[in-house]
Amino acid sequence: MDSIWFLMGCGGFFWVVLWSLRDFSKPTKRFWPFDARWMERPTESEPRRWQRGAPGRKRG
Amino acid sequence: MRSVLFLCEMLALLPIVVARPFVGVLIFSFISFSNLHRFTWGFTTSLPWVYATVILTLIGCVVAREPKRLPINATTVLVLMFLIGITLTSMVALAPFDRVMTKWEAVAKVFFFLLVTAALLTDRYRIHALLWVMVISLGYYGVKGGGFTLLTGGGGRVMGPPSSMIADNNHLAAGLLVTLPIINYLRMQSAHRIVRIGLLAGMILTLFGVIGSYSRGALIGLTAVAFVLWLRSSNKAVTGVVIVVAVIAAVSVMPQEWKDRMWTLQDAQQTDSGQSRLAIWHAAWNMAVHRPLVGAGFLGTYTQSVIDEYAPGTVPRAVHSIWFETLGENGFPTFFVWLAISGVAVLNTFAIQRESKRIPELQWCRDLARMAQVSIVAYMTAGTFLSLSYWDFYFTFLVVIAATRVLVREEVRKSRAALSDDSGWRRGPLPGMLQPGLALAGRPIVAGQIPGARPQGGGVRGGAVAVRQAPSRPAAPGRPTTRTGRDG
Repeated sequence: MDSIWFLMGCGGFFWVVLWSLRDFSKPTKRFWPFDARWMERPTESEPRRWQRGAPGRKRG
Repeated sequence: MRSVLFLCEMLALLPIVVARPFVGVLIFSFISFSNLHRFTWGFTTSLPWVYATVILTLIGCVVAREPKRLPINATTVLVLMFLIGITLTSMVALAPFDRVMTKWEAVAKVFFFLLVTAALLTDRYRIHALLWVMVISLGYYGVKGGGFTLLTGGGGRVMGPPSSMIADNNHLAAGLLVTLPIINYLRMQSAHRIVRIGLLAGMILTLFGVIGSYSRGALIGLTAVAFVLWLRSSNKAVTGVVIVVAVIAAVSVMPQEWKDRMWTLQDAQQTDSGQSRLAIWHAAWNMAVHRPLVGAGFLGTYTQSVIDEYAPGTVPRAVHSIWFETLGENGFPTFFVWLAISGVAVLNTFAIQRESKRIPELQWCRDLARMAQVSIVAYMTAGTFLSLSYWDFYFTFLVVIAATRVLVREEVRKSRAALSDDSGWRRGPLPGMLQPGLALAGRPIVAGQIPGARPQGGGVRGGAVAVRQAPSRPAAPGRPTTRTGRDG
């Protein structure tokens, strides 16, 4: 268990370094671990369900 | 096996540092804050990772084309002054010279690298990456300690990594308290729901880790953090309920032994721990008063001969207070410089909030400033009973705040320039069409396009549209109102 946690710690750090190395001036990556949404506020980038029209709900 | 894994990771990352020195900042921070290499239990435990990183980063700073600039601001000047101050006080320190130099080397390394960090924190992405590394480094122990506390019912103490600044349970608890608001900041800033849930779970477990440390100083710090967090939150009702429920849940898990220990806070001055703390604070104060310009130097309170001179009968030990430690070791001038670093950080947070108020894109700066205020209060409160005066994590965070302030200033300057450029009749929006903070956002307003206007009658999406009235309804909060042409 401890080793798995150690692996996750090292892996998490490795991910941050790789994430920081990507070119953010280009469109966001489709592969979500490396996209720019890790630093976007949900209210700015992710409209709430009722704002974009939830499935099965008629838009007025 | 862990050694091999750690070695592979470092061998993969260190060569990158020469080309991308900011990676060196991330590696330095990760190793310094987490000390994860101490848990490899192999040959990698004792390898000089930090020195290798520092050397490669400095080479990278010279060789690489990566953006870098050392901003001359109050924080960097004060860090430089502090470096000079501790160097001077170490030269006239009263403790054995070799021990003083060892301590000086450790502290000077931290503060020197703060300048390198400040030079390389040039944009939001880097700030965010560094904050993630900080959270992973301390959250590693917070989540692990919280899980340990839950599984054992508070049966054991949560300790920090060996041979580090947060090895002691009290130090780790204070560190986790400082980290909690940063985790909350990252939680607020991620658009990924799973990440937000994961960070919330991490915060709760870290809270359990703080409680499970059995640190009385941390309990006082936790009270202060909870209060300031509630004070600085936007939704006070929900935040208040969440904090109260989380603290009650965490305390209810702990055994009677923990409650008995915390109960001693009522008459802290009568306990052995309280008495010895007061005695050593008195000794540190005496050192500062008798040597006001330079103090006793590093490790003065640990040295029997120094203690005998300034507070006979006191047992040499750690000062257990950031205030008295810095004052006794370095004297008043360096103490005030040290204090001013935090003071400037507090002023920076208020300035960030004030200056970025009209710029929607800088909401993240305001969030960071609010959470930074909580972290600073956590350090000041919990640190009153701990020897964490030169804690690299905290001072790196202050440098992050200073870098954020620089970014805010630049953005405000750009916005003002854009506003003055757009004041002409050709390019400027019509009166009444300027949404608050729109032009200030610094985004170019393309001629012929109306910010926020929706194409009508099958108009081309994002294309030029005829001049018409401003949108009658405000844009939905979830939409990027300032992105001309993408809304429609």
